[in-house]
Amino acid sequence: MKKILGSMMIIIISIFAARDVDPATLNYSIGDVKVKRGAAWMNGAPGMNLARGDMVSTGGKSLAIIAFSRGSMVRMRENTSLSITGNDRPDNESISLFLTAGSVFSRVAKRMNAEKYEINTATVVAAVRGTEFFFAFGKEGKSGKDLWLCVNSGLVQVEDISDSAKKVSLKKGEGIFIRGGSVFTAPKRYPWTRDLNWNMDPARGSVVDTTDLKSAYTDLLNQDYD
Amino acid sequence: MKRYFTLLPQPWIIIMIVFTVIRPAYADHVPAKEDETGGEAVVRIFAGGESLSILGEAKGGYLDGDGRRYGSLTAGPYIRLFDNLKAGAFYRFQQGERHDDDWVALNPGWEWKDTASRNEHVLIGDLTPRLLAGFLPGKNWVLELKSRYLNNLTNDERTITVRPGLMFVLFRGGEPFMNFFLQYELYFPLNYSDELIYERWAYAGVIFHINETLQAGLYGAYQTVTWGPSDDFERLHPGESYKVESEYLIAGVMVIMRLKM
Repeated sequence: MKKILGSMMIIIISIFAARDVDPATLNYSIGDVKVKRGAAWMNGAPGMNLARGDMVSTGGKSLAIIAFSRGSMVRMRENTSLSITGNDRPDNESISLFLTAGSVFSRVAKRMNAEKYEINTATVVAAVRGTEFFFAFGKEGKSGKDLWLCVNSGLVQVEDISDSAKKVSLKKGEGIFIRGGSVFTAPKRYPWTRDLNWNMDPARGSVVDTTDLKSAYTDLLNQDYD
Repeated sequence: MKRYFTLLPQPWIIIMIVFTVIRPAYADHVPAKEDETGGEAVVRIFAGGESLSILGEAKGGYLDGDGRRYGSLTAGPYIRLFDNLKAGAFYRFQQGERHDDDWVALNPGWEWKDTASRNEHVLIGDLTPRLLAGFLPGKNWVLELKSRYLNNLTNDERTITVRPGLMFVLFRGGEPFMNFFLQYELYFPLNYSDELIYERWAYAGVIFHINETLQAGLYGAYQTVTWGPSDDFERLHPGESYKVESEYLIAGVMVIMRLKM
């Protein structure tokens, strides 16, 4: 009896532990991909399970695709570091990520009820319910690193962590430039986003995106030469 | 000489004498067609941000035919009204400009007045729509239609200029590296000249992006101007008129500085 009860306890705990964060897998990688678990770094390889607290890091000319259990995916471009921070609510399968460097594409499966998918930086959080968007660090300025975000489908809400009143919603085709990570500009359509490669499936073609974010800073329509 | 004249039929002698006497007198009071070359240098500063920038421009030029020199200083703001539309308002101080009425009678003789030290003041309104020409092969083509209204406060001449332009921006490492441009500018006189189009400019050039702040460029310009009767001419030769189209080929160099505010 005790053994049966003990086994049940283990099972229950496991279920709660498994539901603590949407289970993630390193689905695909190119080049130099590393995973930090605790204090240890290890090489990331396709098929590797990821859990809350893990940090995935890509090197130069490298790429990683992380898949979550309900179909959401995040594709990390080169020189990107992303942590899976999860949530403390075992009753829903929210995905919470922390971007410390680089850029990511997200394709988010429709969330149920109060479930969220959010990507945080030190200054901003972008939260969605079912969408596809690109989120990236830009140039380093005096007040911090710039942020770029553009939406390919669905709706994304971007909020300033230090001022919840400062938020903006972006719809399909729109992008936003956040200067220094905190100064929100008006959402608009940016021509450079037309070059982004949104493909997440290696079987369908290249998943590499080579868009140079430096070009995002050049607004050709705003250049006067007279 | 006697033998020469006796060989020619007599009516021809009369015709020769008439043309010898009349032609030089007629040519004197009509300006000669000019076909000159010259050079220009321009320095421009754009200071501003996303939706507002201030232009400051200094330009100087030289035409080699009669050693004509000209120069101008222009300043004013550009405001971005929409993503594809900018508006500007400028003041220009200029010297060395030539107008129809600068063809003056010396009694005797005629000449173009030297205007190198004549100060003129011009107000300019600008509207510039732009769009990305995605239908062209490659990327980074920009179509522009720079339209201006110029009011010369000194001589009250008012002009509308329209300048369609096409620019291709070559990127390297994600940043603009070189621009190539073609432009064609038309001057429509509103209250002077009988011509529909008084002046035309065709430009072709290249701009190098040295860094985020500094650009340098070279251009060639072909100008045609249709000179019409001056006040002196109309006063001294009522009932007569002239239309003289002059051409000028100009090589230019430009420096552009961009300052973020």
